[in-house]
Amino acid sequence: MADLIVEIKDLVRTYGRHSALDKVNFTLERGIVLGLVGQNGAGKTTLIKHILGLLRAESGEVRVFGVDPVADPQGVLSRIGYLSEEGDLPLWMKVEELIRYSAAFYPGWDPKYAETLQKQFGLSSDSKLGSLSKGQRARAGLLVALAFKPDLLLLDEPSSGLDPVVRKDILSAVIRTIADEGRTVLFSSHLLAEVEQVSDRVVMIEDGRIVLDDELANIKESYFRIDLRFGTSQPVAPNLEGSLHWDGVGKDWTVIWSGDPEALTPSLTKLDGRIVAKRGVSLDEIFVAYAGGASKP
Amino acid sequence: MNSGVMVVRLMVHRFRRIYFVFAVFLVAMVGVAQLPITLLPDWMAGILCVAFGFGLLTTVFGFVNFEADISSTASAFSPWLLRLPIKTRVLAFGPIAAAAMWAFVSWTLFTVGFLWQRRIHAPLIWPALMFVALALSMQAILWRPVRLGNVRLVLSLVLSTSILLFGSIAGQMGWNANVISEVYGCVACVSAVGAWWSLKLARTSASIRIKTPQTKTDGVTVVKQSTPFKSPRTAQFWLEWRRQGRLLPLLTGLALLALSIPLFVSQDKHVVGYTETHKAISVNIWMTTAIGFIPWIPLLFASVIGMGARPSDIRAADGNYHVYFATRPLPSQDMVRAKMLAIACGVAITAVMTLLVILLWICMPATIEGGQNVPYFSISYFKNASEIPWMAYSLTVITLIAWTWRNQTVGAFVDYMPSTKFAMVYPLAVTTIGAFAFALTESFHAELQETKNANIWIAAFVVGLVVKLSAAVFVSSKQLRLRPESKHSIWVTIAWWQVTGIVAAVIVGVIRANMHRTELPSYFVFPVPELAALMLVPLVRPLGARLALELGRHR
Amino acid sequence: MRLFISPTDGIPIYMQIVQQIRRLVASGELEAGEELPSIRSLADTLVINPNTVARAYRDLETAGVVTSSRGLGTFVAATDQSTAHSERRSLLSRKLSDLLVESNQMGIPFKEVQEMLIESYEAFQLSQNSEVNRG
Repeated sequence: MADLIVEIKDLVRTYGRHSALDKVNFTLERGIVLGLVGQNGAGKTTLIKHILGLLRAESGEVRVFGVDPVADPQGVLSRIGYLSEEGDLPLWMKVEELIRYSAAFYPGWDPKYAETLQKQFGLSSDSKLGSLSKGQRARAGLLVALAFKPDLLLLDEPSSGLDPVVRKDILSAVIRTIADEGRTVLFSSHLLAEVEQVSDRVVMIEDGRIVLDDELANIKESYFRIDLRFGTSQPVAPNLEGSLHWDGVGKDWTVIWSGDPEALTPSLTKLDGRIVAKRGVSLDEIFVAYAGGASKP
Repeated sequence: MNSGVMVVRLMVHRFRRIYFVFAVFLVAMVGVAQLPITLLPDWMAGILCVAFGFGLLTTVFGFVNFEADISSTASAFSPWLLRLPIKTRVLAFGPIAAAAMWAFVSWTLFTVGFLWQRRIHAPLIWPALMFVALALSMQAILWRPVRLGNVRLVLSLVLSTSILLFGSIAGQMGWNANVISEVYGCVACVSAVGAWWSLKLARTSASIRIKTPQTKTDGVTVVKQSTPFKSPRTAQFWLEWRRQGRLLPLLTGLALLALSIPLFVSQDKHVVGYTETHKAISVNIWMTTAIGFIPWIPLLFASVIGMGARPSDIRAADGNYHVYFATRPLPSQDMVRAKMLAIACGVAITAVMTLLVILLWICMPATIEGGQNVPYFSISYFKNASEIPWMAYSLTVITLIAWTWRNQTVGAFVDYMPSTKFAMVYPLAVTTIGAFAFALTESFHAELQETKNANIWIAAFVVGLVVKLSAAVFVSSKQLRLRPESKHSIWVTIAWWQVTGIVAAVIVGVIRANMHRTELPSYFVFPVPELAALMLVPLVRPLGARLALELGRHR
Repeated sequence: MRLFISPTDGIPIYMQIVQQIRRLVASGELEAGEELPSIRSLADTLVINPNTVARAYRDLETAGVVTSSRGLGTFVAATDQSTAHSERRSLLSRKLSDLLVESNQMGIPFKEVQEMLIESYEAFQLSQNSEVNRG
C-alpha cells in the first residue's frame, strides 16, 4: 500500500460559533496530484494551514509524513514546498537574498536547478521583490518552492490574478514534480479547468465538510448533464434520487445526475418524461451544483 | 475655508474621539489648576503634565496620519483623500493649518491655564512654536513619496529628536528665547511649504512606486552566485540582523555624527574651573553641554524602534503571522535565539561606538590660561572635578547601555505577539506606567532620600522580584506543556538571568564603593542597587517571547 | 502527433487521448511501428498529469492498439488489415448512429435521409473531380 503523505482524522476547527472544519477525514497518497476545491471560506485554506502546522488540531489528528506538523515543524516543513496567493514573500528582499535565505533551510536544495529556474523565469538577482510584477513574484515563490525538490508541493490558489503565461509555468511545475518518483502535489484552486487538467483526485469542501472525494476520471464518468422533456409542465423541479441540480422551466428541464442515466428512466416514465440528450459535465458545473445554485432538490 | 475644514474632518474622522477626549481633558486641567496643593499634590500635577504631553503629541500626529508606515516608500497621506477633486493647496491648507493651530493653542492653554497657575514659569512662545514646527516638519517628510523608506525613517527620527531637543539645549547654551522662537518659526514656515510640495508630489506621481514594475522581458537576466549560508541558524541570524539588529547601530552612529558636528564647527569655549595654580580652564561649550545627552541616544532610538517605527517582520498586515516566515523549517527556539543574538550584536556595536565617541569628545583640547592646549581628560582638574560627576556619568553610561539591551530584548516579545493591537497598546502602556512611577518617585523624592526609608525600596524590589519570578514560572510552565523538550532551554535562560543579574549587581557595588559618599543618593545603600540590578535584567519577557512565537506559529 | 485535449469536456482526459490515438491509427496518420511520445514528454507537452497519460497508454495496450516494452517505449501495434478495417468501421458507425439520432429528433424520415445522402455524395464526387482537374 502506498504510504500516506497526509492523514487527517476527524479534524474539527471552530471560529467562535462558525465551524470551519467539521469532522473532516482526508488522506493524500504518495505520487498523486490532489485537487482541492471549494468556495471561499469553505475550509480549504484552514485545512492547508493544519497541514503546515500553522493551526493546532482542536480535536482529531493531523499527520504529515507520519508526524504531527506542530510537534516537529522543522522535519515536516523542510519537505514541503509551499506557494500561496502572491507568494506571501517579503517585499524588501532581493531575488538573490530570497534564494540564499531559502536555500539554507532545505537540505535537498539544488543550486544548479535553482539557477536554471531563475534563468528560465527571467528573475534578475538584483531586483527587489517589491519592484517585480505580480506574475514575476509568483515565479519567485515557485522557484523557492521547487528548487529543493520537495516531497510535497502544496499550492494554495497560486494562480489567482495571474496571467496565462505564469499559470502555465505553475502547471508545468506541478507536472514536473509529479513526474519525479515519489513526489506529491496538493493543489487548491478556483480555476477548475486547471484542476481538471492535472489532478488525479478531486476533493470538494463545502461548509467545512467534504462533499466529494473521488478520482477525477470516476467523477467525469459518473456525472451527466441530462436534458429532459416532460409531457406536462412541471411547476417545480421533480424530486428524483441521485439528482444533484435542476434547472429549467415548464416542460424542459436539465438535471445534473450522478450514476447510470438508465436508472433515471423508470422514475422518468412515471412523470411522463423522456431523455432528450445527455453529455458529460465539467468540474465547474459539478462545483456550482454542489455549492448551490438556482434550484436544489 | 470650508474645503479645508472638510479635509481635516475626513482625515481625523476615525479618531475624532481622541480629539474630543483631549480637549475635554485640557479644559478639565485648566479647571483644576487652581486647586490647592493638598487636593492636587505636585506628583499628581506631574502625571497630568505627562498625560498632556502624550495627548498633545498624539493629536498633533493625527494631522500627519495615524496609520503612517514611516519606513515605507509611499506617501503617508491617505490615498483616498489624495483623490479628492480639489486643488492641492486647498487639500494641504486644512491639515497644515489645523496642526499648527492645534499645537499652538493646546500649549498656550496648558501653559497659561495650568502651569502659570501652579506658579511654574514655563516659557510660552518658543515651546508652542516648537510643537508647530514638529508637526509641520513631520507632515513635510511623511507626506512625500520617497525612493528609500529607510532614509525617511532615519530622517524623521533625527529631525523630530533635534526639534524637541534644540530649544532646551539652546536655552542651556545661553541663547535668547526670542531667537529660539524665530528659529522654530522659520522651521515651521519652511515645513509648511515643504508639506504642500510633498502633497503635490504625492498627487502627481503616477504610481506610489517610483520604478515601474519589472516584467520578464526586461533585458538580460542577471544571475549571481552567492555563498550559501552555513546553516538555517546562520540564515535566520542574517535575517534578524538585516531587519532589526543593524538598525540601532546605524541610527546611533548617524545621531552621534550629527551631534559631533557642532563640536568641530564652533570653537566657543567657556570656563569650567581653575587649576591648582589658579589658571582658568576653558573647554568647548558644546562639549560640556551635550555630553550628557550622548549615552541617552541609543536608549532613545531603542525605545522608538521598540514602539514600532519599524513594523515587525513576522507579523503580517492582518495581525496574524506572516506565512513565509512562520513556515521556515526552523524550531521556534532557534528563531528566538537568532533574534536575541542579532540584538546583542547590535547593542554591543552601539555600545562600542558610543564609548569611542565619548572618548573622542573628552579628548577635545582644553585651553589653560596662558595658552596651553591639552586634551581635556588629561588635566588633573578633570580627575577631581566635581562640576561634572564623571563617576556618576560612567554609571549612567553603563546603565543606559544595559537598559538599551533590555529594551530591545523586551521588544522582541512585542514583536512576536500575533496581534497588531497589542503591539500598539503595549509600548503606550509601558511608557505610561514608567511615567507614572517616575512622577511618583520624583514627587516623594525628599522622603525617599532618607536612609530610614530605604526599607520602602527594599520592600518594593522584593515584591517586584516575587512577581517577576512567579510570572517566569507561569510562562515557562505553559511553554513546557507545549514543548516538553524545551526544559533545557528554560533553565539556561534562568541561569543566564541569574548570572547577568549577579554580574550587574557586582558592577554596581564596585562603582558604589569607589564613589564619594556625597555624590550618591542616600538610598544607594546595600542591597538596594544590587536588587535593582537583578530586577532590571530581563527574564519574563524573553521567556514570553518564546511562548508568543510558539503560540503564534501554531494557533 | 497532434493531440487536442479539452479538460472541461465531459469526457475524461485519458479517454480523449485514447479516442484520438485510435482515430489517428485508424486513419493511417500513425503508422504501425511508429513510436509514441514518452509518457513524461506527452504530459509536459499537453500540461496534463503523467498518470493520466499512463492510464491512456495502458488502455491502448489492453485494446491492442499499441505495444509497450519497458525501457524502449510505446509503439503503434502492427495490426492486420481486417482489424484495421473493423476499427475504422466502428468509428464510422458511431458517426452514423449520431446522424440517425439527430434526424429522428428533427423528424426527418429515413427515406429522406437516404436521398440527402445520395445528393451529398454526388456533390462530393463533383468537388473531387474538379480538384483532380485543377491539380
